[in-house]
Amino acid sequence: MPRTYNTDAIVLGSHKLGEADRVVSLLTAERGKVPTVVKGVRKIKSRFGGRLEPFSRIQAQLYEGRNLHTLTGADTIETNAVIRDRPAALKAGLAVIDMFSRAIPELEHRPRTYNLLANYLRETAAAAAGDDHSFKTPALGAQLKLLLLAGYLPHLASCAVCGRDEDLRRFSAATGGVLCPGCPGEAFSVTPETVSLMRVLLEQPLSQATQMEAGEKAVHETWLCIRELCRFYLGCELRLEP
Amino acid sequence: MFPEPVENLITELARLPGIGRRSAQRIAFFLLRRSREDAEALARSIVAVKDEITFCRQCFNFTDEELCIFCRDARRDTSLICVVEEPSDIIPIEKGGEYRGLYHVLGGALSPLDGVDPEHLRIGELVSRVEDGEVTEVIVATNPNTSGESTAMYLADLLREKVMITRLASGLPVGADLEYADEATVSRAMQGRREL
Repeated sequence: MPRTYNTDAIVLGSHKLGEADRVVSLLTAERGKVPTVVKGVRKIKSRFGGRLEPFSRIQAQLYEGRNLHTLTGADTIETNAVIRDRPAALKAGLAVIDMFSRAIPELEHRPRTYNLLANYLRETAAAAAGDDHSFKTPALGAQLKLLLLAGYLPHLASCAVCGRDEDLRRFSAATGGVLCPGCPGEAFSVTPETVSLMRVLLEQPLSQATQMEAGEKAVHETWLCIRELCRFYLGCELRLEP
Repeated sequence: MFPEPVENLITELARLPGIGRRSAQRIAFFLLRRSREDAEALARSIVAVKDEITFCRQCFNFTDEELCIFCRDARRDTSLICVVEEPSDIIPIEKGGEYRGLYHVLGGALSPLDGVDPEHLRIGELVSRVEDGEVTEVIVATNPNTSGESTAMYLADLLREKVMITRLASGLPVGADLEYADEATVSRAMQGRREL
C-alpha cells in the first residue's frame, strides 16, 4: 500500500534521471538508505533548490512507491555547505559518503549508522569553519566506526591468529586484523603507528579526531586497511582516499 | 504486439531521453502515417548529424567545420573564455545576450566518486589556450552543484597565476519569491550581494 512518511535524511549523492529529474540517494533515520526520485530538481526554479546537495541534512517528506520513493518535500536541518567549500574537507567527506553509499544495503533500518554520519558531518563542518584542523583522521574514524557497526571490527590489540601482543606489523583482512611475523596469512606491512592510530580512532569520539595529529604514512596505511576490510567483508571497492 | 519493424522503431525511440514506451508508440504511429519522403528526410538528418557534426578544434563545441560558429566569428571578444560543462550549456548564455566572448567545453565536471578526474576533461586544452596569451579572463560557468563547484575550485587553483578567474554569480532566480528560496541559495545570494 503506497503511503507518505516524514523522516530525517542525509543526502549521499545523486544521478540524473530523464530531462530534469534526479535519483537522490538518501540515508534516512527511519528506513536506512533510500533511492528517491526528485522531480524537476535540475530546473532553476525547482522548489528543492540547493537542499539536495551531498552532505545536506534535511527533513524529508517521501512517498513510498512500488519501486522507488519520491521526494514530495524537504526542509533543511543542516546545510553543511562549508564542507563543500573547502577542498580538503570536500575530499574527505566524499570518501566517507562513498563508503556509506557502498556499504549500506537499501531500506534497512540502521539508526546508529545514521547518527554516525550525522555526527561526522557536524564535526567536519565545525572543523571546516575553523583553521588548522585535520579532515583525514575524522573521515578514517567514521569509516572505522561504520565497520564496527557493520560487525567487522578489526582485531587490533593482539595477533588475530595466536594472540601475541607485540611486533604487530602486518594486516590481513581475511584473518580479521593484525598479525605477528610468525603467523601465516596473506598480509601487507603496517607500522605500529598505523595500528595505534586505528585503535585510537575506534576508541575516541569523532570530535577528538579533528584535533588529532597523525603521520601521512599511518593515515595512508589506515585507509588501505579499511579498503581491504570493505573489499573482503562487504564486497565493495572504495574509490576515494580521504 | 506489433510487426517486428514497428517494434524495432518503438524500441529505438524509447531509448531517447525523455521518451517512454507510450510516447515512442505515438511517435512510431505518427511516422507510419506520414509519407515515405518525410520518413526519409528524418532518417537522412539523423545520419547527417552523425556524419558531419564533430567537435570544434579550439573550444570543443559541436560544429560542422573545423571551428564552431563562435570561434569563427571575428566580432567575438577573444580575450574572454567562458568555461561550460556541455555544449548545451552555451545555449542559455547566448540567449541571455550579455556575453560576447568565446567558450570552452570541458565535456563534464570533476566527480571522483564516478571516476571523472581532471585527465578525463578538456582541462589541458583550456590551459594551452590561456597560455597562448590573448586571454585576460576565464569565466567558470560550471553548474552550481558539488561537482561543478569542485571543478571551479580546481580550475581556479590551476589558472590563478596565469589569468583572472571569475565565477558566475549564484543567487535567487528572477521572478521567484524569496519566501520559497532554500537556505543554501539565500546564503549564496547574501554573500554575492552588490551595491546599488
